[in-house]
Amino acid sequence: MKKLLPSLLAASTFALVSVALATTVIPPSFDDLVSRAEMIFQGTVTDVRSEWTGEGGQRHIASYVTFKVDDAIKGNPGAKVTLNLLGGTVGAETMEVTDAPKFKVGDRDILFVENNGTQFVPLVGIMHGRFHVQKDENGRDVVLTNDGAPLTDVNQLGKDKRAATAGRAISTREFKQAVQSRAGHTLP
Amino acid sequence: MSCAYLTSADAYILEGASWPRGSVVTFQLGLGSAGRTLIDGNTSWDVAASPAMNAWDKVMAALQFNANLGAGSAAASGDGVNSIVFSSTIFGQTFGSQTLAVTYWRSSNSRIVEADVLFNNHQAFDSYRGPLRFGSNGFAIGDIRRVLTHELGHALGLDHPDQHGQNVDAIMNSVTSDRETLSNDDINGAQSMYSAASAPTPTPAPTPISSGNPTASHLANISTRMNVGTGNNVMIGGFIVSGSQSKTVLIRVLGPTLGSLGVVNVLADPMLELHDSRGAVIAANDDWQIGSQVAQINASGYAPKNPNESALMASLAPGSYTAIVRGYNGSTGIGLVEIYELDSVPTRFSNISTRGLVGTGDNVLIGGLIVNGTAPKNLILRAIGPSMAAPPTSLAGTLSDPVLELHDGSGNLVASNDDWGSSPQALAIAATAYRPSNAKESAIMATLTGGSYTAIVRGANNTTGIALIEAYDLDR
Repeated sequence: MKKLLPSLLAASTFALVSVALATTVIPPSFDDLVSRAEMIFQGTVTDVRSEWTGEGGQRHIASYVTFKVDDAIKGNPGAKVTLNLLGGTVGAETMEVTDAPKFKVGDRDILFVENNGTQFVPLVGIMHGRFHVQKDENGRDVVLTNDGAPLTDVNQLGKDKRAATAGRAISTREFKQAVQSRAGHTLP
Repeated sequence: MSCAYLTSADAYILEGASWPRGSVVTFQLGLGSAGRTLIDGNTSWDVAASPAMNAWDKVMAALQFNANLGAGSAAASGDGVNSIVFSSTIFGQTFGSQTLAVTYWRSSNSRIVEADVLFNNHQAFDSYRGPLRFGSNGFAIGDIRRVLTHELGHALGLDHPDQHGQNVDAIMNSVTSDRETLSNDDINGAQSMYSAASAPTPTPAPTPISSGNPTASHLANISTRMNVGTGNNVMIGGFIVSGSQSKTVLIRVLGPTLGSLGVVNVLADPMLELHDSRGAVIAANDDWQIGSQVAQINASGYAPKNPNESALMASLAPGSYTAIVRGYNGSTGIGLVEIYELDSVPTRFSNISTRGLVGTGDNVLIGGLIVNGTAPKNLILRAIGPSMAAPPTSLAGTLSDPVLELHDGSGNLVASNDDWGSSPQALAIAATAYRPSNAKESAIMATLTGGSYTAIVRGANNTTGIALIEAYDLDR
């Protein structure tokens, strides 16, 4: 099935200038995700803002995504965190990082953050450092990978995507337990 | 906002923008020298990566990539230049430790107007064929060609199928894998935007064009056969194009074809690079049937018989050029490089030369040339060895005492020389600008009628080493 991305469908309606980016990323293992993240938290997006920055050939659009921190899992994120990402939309112009996670207000995610402000997408493994939180049919909070597949086995992350996403999604509690086990902490 | 879905068995994903149909998208390929010999035998990132463009070109009718190899360029969005470069940052920010490359493009009204590919120079890259290879750290070694193939897919307007719920074998999946060539899904994706390339249309064989002056003679073809080694012992052929106009040439390298003619230990898979006088790679080919020139090479009448052999066509401005022949994956064996003129403009070859390792038996250095025309052609042939040990070349392992023979097309010995100073032609040789600088080197002056000739360089007393064979046109 071929899909036209909605943002670009919209762009085709108007005389816009847009910039898109794509990355090729080696997916990190779960151990890499946990060990390299400076902070890990579950949060809810409260604001997304984009603006032009830089001069000359370095001029680009940057986006600032603010989260209300619902649960700190590693590090000390405080009550809110603002991530600085490359790309976004300002007026009629868009600069899109194809593989970078796209955020909108209300999204609930677990994020593995590194190098915020100095890395073009400040997540460990770029798109692989974002996990969606969603309620399943029983009202339980479960974890999905960045591309929306149910995460079933953290030990297969970065190794076998099919095995990592085959079956029933694990709960956020199970996921956080696995993170804290790797990080050397235990859940309260 | 809404989504539009097209029902199809295909899994490819379109990013929603594409180049105008009929575009020739020229990239400044500025990845530069690898500074070492890569796994596949290349020494230039640009040469190693450029077949990625050919792979896409082969399947599309309404868009073609073009590469300016060795064109160093810093990538910047909005400069109107399509660049492929190594970089340590992207817009001043780091890539992240596991990002291999980033592609970005600008578009207007869903029409792409510029694309840049940035390779993360903090990653370990190499160039190799086959399954992924892994470094001692357990991470895959980035294969420059397959990563560029993927990134060019983005530059065409393709997204990652696996990031959109698709499960398909594709170079466009978001992670690098054992797949190094385009899958059917990748091809279908490209062709959905740029149509399928049709089979090459047979074109008539070129009609010989008479020279402006029917009696003037010139060097029309040059060739060298030798044992191609590695490192300093690869085959290096040089030639000078003299005149006021550009000259169209075809350069090819044969290996397996020689085997069918009874030569043993042939170079099984030759690779060809063409350098300009600054040393920049201006064209390259590994397998001649992979590339955008297949139809033209077929039409030239000089297409190699074996698909592993190399060929390229180029229009060359007057100047000096060097063709370098290596074996794929560092392989060695006897290879033959040939340069043909494909036009009749007054611009001519005025010098030819080949440097390589001179062995014994079948592994001596053999150079061929064709004199076209009815008027006699005055030439000087040289076999250079020991002087290359001195600066500026300072080459180790040179042939200490080369011996030169000139044969006609029937194999008859026309002339021979050891030590040019002992030749009856010594005074005449010394009067030219081409007097060898070492007494042990050899030279022959000859007036040749139209036809083919062969020059052979051996070591005196079966000695071996690196030698240079040269022919200069004394009439130009």
